[in-house]
Amino acid sequence: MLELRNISKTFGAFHALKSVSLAIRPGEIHGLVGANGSGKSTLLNIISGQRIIHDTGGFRGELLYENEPRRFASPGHAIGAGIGMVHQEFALIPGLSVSENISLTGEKIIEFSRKFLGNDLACINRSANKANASAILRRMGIDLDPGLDTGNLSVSMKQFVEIAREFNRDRLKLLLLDEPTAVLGTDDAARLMDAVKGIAEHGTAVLYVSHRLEEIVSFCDRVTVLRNGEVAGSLDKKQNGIKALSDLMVGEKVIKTNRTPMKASEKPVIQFSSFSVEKPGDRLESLDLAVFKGEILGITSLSGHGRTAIGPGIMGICPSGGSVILHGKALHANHPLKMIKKNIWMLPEDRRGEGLLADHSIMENMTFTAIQTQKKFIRKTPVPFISFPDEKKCRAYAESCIEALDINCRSVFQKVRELSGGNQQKVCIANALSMTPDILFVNDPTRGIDIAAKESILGLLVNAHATHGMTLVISSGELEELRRICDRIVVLYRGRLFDVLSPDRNEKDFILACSGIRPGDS
Amino acid sequence: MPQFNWVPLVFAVFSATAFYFSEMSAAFVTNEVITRFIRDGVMVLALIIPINAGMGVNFSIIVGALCAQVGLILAVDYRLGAVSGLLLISTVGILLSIFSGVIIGICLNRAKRREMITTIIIGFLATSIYQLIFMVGYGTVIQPTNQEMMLSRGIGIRNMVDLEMFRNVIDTLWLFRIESIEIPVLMILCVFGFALMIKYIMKTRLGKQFMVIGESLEKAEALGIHVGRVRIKAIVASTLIACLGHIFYILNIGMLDVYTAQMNTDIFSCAALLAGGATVLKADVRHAFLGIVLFHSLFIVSPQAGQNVFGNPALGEYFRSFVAYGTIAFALIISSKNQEKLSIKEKTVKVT
Amino acid sequence: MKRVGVQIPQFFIIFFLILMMFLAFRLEIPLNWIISDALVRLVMNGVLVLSLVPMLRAGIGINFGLPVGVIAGLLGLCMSVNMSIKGLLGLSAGILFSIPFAVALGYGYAGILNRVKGKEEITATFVGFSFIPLMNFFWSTAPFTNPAMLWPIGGKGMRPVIGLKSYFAKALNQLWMVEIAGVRVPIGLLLFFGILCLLLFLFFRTNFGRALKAVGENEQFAGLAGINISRVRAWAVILSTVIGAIGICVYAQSYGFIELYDAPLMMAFPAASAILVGGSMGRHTHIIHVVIGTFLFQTTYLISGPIANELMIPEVAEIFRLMITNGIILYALLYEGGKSHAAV
Repeated sequence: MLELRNISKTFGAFHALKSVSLAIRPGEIHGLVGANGSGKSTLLNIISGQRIIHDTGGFRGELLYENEPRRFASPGHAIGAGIGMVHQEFALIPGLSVSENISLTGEKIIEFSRKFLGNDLACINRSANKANASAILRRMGIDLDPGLDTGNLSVSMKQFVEIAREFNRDRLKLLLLDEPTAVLGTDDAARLMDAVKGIAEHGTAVLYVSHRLEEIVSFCDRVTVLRNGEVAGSLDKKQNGIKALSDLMVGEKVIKTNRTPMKASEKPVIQFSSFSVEKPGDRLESLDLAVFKGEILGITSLSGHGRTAIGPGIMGICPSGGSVILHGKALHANHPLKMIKKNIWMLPEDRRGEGLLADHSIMENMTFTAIQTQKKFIRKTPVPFISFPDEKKCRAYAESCIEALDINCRSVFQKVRELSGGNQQKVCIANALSMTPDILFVNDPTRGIDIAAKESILGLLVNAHATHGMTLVISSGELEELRRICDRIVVLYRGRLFDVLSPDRNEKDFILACSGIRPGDS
Repeated sequence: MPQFNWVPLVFAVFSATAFYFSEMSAAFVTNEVITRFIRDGVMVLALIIPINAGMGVNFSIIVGALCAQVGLILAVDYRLGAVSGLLLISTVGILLSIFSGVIIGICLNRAKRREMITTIIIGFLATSIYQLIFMVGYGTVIQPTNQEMMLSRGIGIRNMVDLEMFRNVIDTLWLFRIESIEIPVLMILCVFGFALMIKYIMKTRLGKQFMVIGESLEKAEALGIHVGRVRIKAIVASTLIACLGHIFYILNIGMLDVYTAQMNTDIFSCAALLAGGATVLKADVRHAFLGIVLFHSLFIVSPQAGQNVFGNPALGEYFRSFVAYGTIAFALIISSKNQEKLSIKEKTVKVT
Repeated sequence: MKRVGVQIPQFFIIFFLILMMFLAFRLEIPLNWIISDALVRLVMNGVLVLSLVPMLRAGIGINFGLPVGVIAGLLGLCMSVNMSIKGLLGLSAGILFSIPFAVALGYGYAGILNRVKGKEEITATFVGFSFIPLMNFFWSTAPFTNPAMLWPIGGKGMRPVIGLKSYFAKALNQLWMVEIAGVRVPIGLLLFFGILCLLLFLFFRTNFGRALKAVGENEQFAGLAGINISRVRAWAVILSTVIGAIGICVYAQSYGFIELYDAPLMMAFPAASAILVGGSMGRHTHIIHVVIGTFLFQTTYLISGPIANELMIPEVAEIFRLMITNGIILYALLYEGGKSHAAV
């Protein structure tokens, strides 16, 4: 049905997939697992013809679909060829009823009217659609009135409607499921899996991506494990077990520790109690945590499970609730300016989107925040309210940073846009250091950066921590990196604190904890 | 959730107040409103599809109007009779408006999220091109067959072209009178016919696709809808309906004001639609009908009311143009506030 | 990106200009007249064009609501005329009186634009449009007393066109006028424009100016750096409105008339077109774009008039002007849209 041969995909200098091969037979439920950033989403995007693949230069390798080499330029083409995809984000239209949503783009029409009005303008046969929708829902084991407005359904029901729509396609041959059970409870997940099994029995192939290893184990005929963009292994129904899978996901790595974890001082600098952050796509719920002075705290979770929410919550960029105590005093987090005045800052994960002024020079980027908020590098004029930046001081600082952080650039006046990802991140760090914060929240510092630069970024962070004595809270999906530099690592699961682990724990424990499993459970 | 929209209520209060002060007879106002309903009704309906397809108000319906005028001028130029003339007018109008609709659609696909300002500019530009053709091109590049419609200097068409042969061809059919109120039933039925057609289109596959792209372009893309193509279809439909609507308008008047007949049709239609309770994100046929009645009754009575209250009819004029522009500005301000709320709600739903 | 790249609009307008120069030469329109008038028109419209810069740089987009600033300027001018202040003093008084109005109106206008993020341009257009009839109420009932400004019959309500001949018409135009080789060079006027440009240039180099540019380039970054985005955007709008008010003062003295009522309705579009011709692309706008754009644009405006008259079709000039104006704006909208589409 679907065969991938040596698929490779690069985003700039970053290799997302390296020569991945995979085959799915009709009627097979094929699992796809892998840690964060192992290339699962990229693979799904390639198969379903998402534009992002096309816009970033396509991919290399062969994609055989029904024994023919294909390259889908848009999701429309993939859907036309019989590939259905269920997204993590709902593609449902709230104003329409359940049956209308299920039949969307595949509406049954009255044959007679089609003859002279054409496909687009023919009469839609509402009762047929409704009957069809309820038949599908019944087959899935869902008791839902197809006449209801989709906007008012619960999250799990929406997920079922979403899947029902894919089932409705006449020529559904391959179904891609991207973590369909992420929003479902255990009962609903089981019902969903039964429905998927039912459809697989009719000959539809299913590619099933999930972080829930137990589901994968009980449900899939074959499992392919991705690790760092490569196929780490492929297991049969008989071979697979949670332990075998997590072994493959981890691989064998030699961990070199950059620094020895320090003994936590007993003085918490900042204490969170039932701290919740409403960050779109990455929610944090009632966190209770104390961060000690001078430590490096790691925060990890799967993406979307809340690891990047704490910084924006503290800075007041995203709405937050609960209480925060800083140096023993209650803190009302509401505006970045107030936090900067209290010597707290954060480095956002989306460098180009939030961390940099891409069209400004390196120098301006490094000094911008300090000039605007701390009145550093400023030349006053006799006129009130008018002051200019002190170019000389700015330049001196920028040059010292380029030297100290080893930034590869032509001059301090070069535009940041022209730098590589790693050097851009260094500019971000220089901007943060110019304010000499006491506490710095860092989100995904090495995302999208090539391996050599990753090392030096981590080194810089450790260095800054050692020389300025600042407290670092680093959130990252890269477990290995966190384990190398952190004193403690917090694992979040579904937006809640799941466990606090010491970095010298077994990597498998981390992977299981990220999927919400304690070592004893399995 | 359909929020209560109090814009129609405000319009109703304004109209009633202005009507009271204008001291006009109810029969006169009713007659005028019916006439306006027939003249402008279809034009307002033309706005509905693009709004529901998420492209905002299509101010380039003015292009559709221009297409109709081109057809009319050609019919006059070739001195065609009533039936053959109508045939030519509608053929030329339809072909031209489909063609220009496709071009506008392609333009708008390049200007996503800035559709409305783009359509305004397209409207301006099209008007200039139209003027260039008929004010300068006629008599120089294009040789007219009918010299009567030309300006005396031999270049350019006169400002007013008489459409004598079309006058009272269709708008006197089935004319009913209830005391002093004239009701041209056929024409009203025609407008309703257009309304039904739009209702029907929104219920077909195409209509569903309009709704989906109106909801979110990303969702539409994920559902395998060819977004660009559907958007072009929406604009073509809108331009086409506008063209037919404008043919109605001019035939009803019986005179063609060559250079100014299309002026402000976009603004007034838009204001009327919004007055009926539509927003720039959601519009329905009932908004159009309610809006035409409310907006035009205000329009009819406000100069007289200005005269009676302030002793200056100009004040009433100012008031009504303020109402037209202000309604649109207000709708834009309000709609972005609603949009914000909506997006926050959506975010909270997505729990992972 | 090059600072002044030759894009299609520039190419088109230069081609057009050359064509018209050629025609003007054939029709024996004197060259020194063209140059003298072009210099005057540069400043006459240049200040209005300059007023678009702060909002463009703050990422708010083209200020299609320019009538708001224009009306503030008209109020100031009317006050000055009402007091019968003459000469340069009258013009300065007009500018001075209009600034408080511009700040107040700009503040309200900014409040509106901050609520409609992402749809500023269309909203600005209609705020400008709807402000005109609102002000028409005021004009027809305004409590001004100078009979030169009121309807001659009845003595109530402002005239639509107020002659400035006995007040400050051409006051700045005539300042230090020098004739060099048959070309009259209005040094005072050019100096005024130059100083205004320089002040704006310096403004963008202050800390606040930098914050404004940062907001235009990356709102998230600016927000994270502790900048109050709404405040910065509001100041950009206010600044644009104030310069717009000064712009109409300069325009009116140069033109010799104050035009009230519906006259400012379409003023934003030629200004927008001029800055786009200069090479402005959204927030990538420099003051040099204003100068180049206004010069090119206004010179074509200037020459097209007499040429059309010679060709016996006077309307063609106006039609062509409108076509160029709107064609350029449309091109810019489509060009920028196409670019952002490719980036997604």
